[in-house]
Amino acid sequence: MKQLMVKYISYYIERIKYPMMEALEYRADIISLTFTSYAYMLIQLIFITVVVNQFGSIGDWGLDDMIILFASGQFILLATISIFINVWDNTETDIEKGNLDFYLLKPINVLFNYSTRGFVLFQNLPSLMFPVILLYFARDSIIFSPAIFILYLVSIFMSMTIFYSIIVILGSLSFWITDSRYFKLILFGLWKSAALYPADIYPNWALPIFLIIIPIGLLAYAPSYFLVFGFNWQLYAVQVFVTIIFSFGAVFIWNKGIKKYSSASS
Amino acid sequence: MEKVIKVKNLSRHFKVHKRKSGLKESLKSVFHREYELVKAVDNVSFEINQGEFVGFIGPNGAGKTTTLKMLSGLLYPTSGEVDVLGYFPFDKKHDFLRQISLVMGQKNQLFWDLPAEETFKLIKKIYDIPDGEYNKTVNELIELLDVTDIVQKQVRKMSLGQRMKCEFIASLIYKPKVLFLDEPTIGLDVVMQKKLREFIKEYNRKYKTTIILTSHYMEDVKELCERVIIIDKGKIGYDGSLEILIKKYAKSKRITLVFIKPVKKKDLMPYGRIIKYERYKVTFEIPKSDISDVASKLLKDFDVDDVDISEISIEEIVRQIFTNHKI
Repeated sequence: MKQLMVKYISYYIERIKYPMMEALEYRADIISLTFTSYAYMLIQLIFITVVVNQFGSIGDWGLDDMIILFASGQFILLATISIFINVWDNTETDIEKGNLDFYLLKPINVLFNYSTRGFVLFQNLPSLMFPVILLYFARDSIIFSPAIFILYLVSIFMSMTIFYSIIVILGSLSFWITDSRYFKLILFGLWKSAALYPADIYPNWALPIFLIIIPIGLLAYAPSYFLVFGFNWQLYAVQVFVTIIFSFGAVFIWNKGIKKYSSASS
Repeated sequence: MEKVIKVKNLSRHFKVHKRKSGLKESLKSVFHREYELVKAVDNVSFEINQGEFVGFIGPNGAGKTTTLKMLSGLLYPTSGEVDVLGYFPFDKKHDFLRQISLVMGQKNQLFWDLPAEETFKLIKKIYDIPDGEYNKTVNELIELLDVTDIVQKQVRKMSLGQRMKCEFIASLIYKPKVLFLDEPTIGLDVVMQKKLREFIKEYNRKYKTTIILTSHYMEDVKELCERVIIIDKGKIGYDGSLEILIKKYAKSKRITLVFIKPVKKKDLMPYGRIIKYERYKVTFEIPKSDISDVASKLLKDFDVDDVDISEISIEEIVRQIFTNHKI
């Protein structure tokens, strides 16, 4: 097991070099990507500021707390997509056009090999700096303690795992449905609404929907909550539960789909 | 000799949605769908020995690629048995995948924006190939395929032929025991086709790799395969040597005459079946037993400038087999 882990980690380090080298061939893309993502985040931030200033606060969340929520959400979204860009961008097309053939014929886990095919974290570093800068500006709302900081990072990691699992599940639908791209559009739409606001805005009956069933509301909320209000074991338990369920669910659905994969005619 | 591929009553069926053309039919099909069962591969059986080079021939949609995909583990068979190197391919056991390779003329596994040698290095990592062995194999393949300067070029800047050569290197770095080639020479010019054929032949001779080839180019099959499997509509019609196939089906020869003076077609018709006619040139198809009699008669009756007697081409034999549904 340890040997296998070492093998996969060493392969991963080698693997991510290639998409990075590929992406670095196009310098203009990095500049335009940074510019557009900064513009997009700024517009969102202005919108949030206007809303919070209008109402004073949203639930118990003041403007700085809302900025932390927004910054954490943007970090999760950007980092996950940058690390798993292939899953985000290409799964549907690759399944439809039969491009998984070479992944299936390599003696390495197919989902692992496919997920690591793209890696644009390096190009997105300037964009990822923006949420970090926002956290600095909202520092008055942050509980400064090493334990909370570690908890925040663990929670961010779990949220990224959940988000990755969701995009794997949505991409895998293409094994059954010819074009499942619109599911990702819905996900993105949901992100812009559910992930940018704290769970406090939902009535009790809606909480399981946005925190567990479609856990978009949990992704930015959980880490931000820990950072602003401290540890909450119920919220932590929900996040651990959702991470486990969605991770296993993604692997299960992907493997089911692979059995259904019919490649494409030559 | 060890049998590395054993296939028994193998079938793969697809359920295909069928409808007539037009918007009205499209709307109707939303509420009521008719499906058709397409038997892409239907109850085929064959065995292949270690080191054998087998050609799969058939028209488009015959079931060649589907068979290849079941043998490599990409597709799950609807029914039947398939055993490659002692494994059920679809299980995709890593030990099995380490011993097979698939080259597809119409698909690309190389990193598009990077030099080909970067893909080779990644494959080295996947297959845990020691440095020494990797360098030796890659250098040997580079030399055999004559791509020393090309492997450092970005894949997207390569010609199709150069890219295919690099695809071959990527597929052979780990020395697979079984190699599946799906239209590897498609789209290449004749010079490049010939070079690749020579390489494949040499590789098979040197490493005793079992190779299954599908190709539309009969030259590939003629030059490389001792054994051919002819498949049409999912069924095997012939499995044996090319030589026997030619003997069995090529029961006539072609005689082409170039005349000194123009000759009318009606004057030539009594001598045999005319395949092609021009005023100064004619081609007949004549049964092998009559060829010398007909040839001497023609030479006696007409002023002939040139004469040529040839075998019917393998392409023509296969075309006739499919057209007449002889299989």
